[in-house]
Amino acid sequence: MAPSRPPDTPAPPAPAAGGEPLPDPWIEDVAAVVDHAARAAGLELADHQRPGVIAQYSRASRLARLVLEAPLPEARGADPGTDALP
Amino acid sequence: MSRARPSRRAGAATDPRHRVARALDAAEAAAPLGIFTEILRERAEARARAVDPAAPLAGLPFAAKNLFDVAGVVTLAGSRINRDDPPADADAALVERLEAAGAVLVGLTNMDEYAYGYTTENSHYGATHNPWDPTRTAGGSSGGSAAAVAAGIVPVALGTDTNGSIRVPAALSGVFGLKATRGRLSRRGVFPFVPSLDHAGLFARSVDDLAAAYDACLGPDPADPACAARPPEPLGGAGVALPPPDRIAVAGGFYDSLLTDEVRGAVARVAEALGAAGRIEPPDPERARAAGFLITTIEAAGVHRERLRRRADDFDPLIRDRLLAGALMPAGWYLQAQRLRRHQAAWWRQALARHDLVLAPATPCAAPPLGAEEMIVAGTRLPVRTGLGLFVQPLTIVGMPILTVPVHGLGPLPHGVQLVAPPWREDLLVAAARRLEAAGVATAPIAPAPPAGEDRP
Repeated sequence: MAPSRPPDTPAPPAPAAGGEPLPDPWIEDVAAVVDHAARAAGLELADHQRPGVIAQYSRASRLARLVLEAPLPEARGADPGTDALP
Repeated sequence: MSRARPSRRAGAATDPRHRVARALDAAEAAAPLGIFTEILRERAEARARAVDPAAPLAGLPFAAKNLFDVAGVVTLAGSRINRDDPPADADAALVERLEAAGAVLVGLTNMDEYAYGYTTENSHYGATHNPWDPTRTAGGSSGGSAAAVAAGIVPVALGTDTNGSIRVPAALSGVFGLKATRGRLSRRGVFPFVPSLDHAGLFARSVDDLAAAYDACLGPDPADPACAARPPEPLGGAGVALPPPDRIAVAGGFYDSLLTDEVRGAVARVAEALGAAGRIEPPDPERARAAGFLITTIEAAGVHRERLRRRADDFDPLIRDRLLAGALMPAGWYLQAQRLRRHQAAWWRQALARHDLVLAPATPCAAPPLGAEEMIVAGTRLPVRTGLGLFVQPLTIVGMPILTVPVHGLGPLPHGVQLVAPPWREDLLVAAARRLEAAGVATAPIAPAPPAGEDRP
């Protein structure tokens, strides 16, 4: 059995899709980012949609951090090869 | 090269009209399983009457995910919104090609809304129930197609795979499921989900049927920008030799971590039967999954941009929120995800130059109950909706051909094992599947839940 967490200890990060821990949140105010991006994208979020969208964006931002920190070779161009696979 | 032929069990009905009629009756009787969203009786009966008995797939009944266009029918794509679309004016390329080879489409199958899910629990059209245990999911997003094959209604069905939507339901429903090399099979007339990741493919209960249907689907198609300009490379009846043991590897590390003993046992059975002697450890699977997630969310949001603006509340709420969030994400995330994808693909190309086949589990566990939010695997709590994609999503982004083979007998429910081959080497996958089928290791018996349209053994 896993040891119980002492009181006042922060909860571990929520599991990602596969159970692996997600990176810590790195965007301080996801709600503000979402609201700003929605305006920039010309989308209006209804009140009942906003909490779910913020939750999804928050999780995606933590996955994005995994991708952004990947040790990739220096790219010479911006073409990611979207349709050049395999 | 001769074409592969579909199997015909001794005594099985060979009259196309009779065979198609049985499949149509079975499809209607299977309504409680939530497999079909449209049964095409009139069209199928007319086509069955016109089948050329000498055609390679003469009278073979098949189903297609309700994402494939059929002339005169509205392509639902699992959505309420698409009900208001006009009917398709032409058949999708693979429907057209299968029917040109003598097969007959009997119906369109249930799926997750816009293919965004792994469980086929559709908030508009209901859930598809697993024919092996109707209290459980058949997998998704092509769950209806997998269940139609598992229940014996049709021997072959069309599906699509963007993040595992053929391989997961094939594993959970206990049938063969092929995602061909990206660019191999035309997606013309298939409603898009994630254009840079979408693949078309097939389910079948026998390797012969899978190979015969696959051969019929081959060919370039300028109408699909991702479809390669390669001539058809049919598998034929004979097939290629199985690679030697040192050219067959099992994926370890991440792929041997969060899975049940039964799934691990299924991989071991397949590895032993193929004599797999190698082992590889693919790098950064978590990052590969994350890249697949971002590409999916952002591209899918682009596909649905106008629907999100005009009819957001007609989506399933969870899918709506994912898509709306995707519409707001920075381009930099997407571009880096695509770069990571290319880097992963380069690694896999090198690995598959050293090994002709790589084995990996398809799902972490057998089919979870319908409605379950979480599942416990190896002592770890996983969300069902995304956890079922643990082992398929990191492989999708690299575009290699992958065949899920069904393994029964390790508990009451089936399991699946992925076979990965180098680009354009579907022949190696089929050779391995034939070996496994002949050895009784990978088989797809008809599920015991009635009804069944094919002759039971």
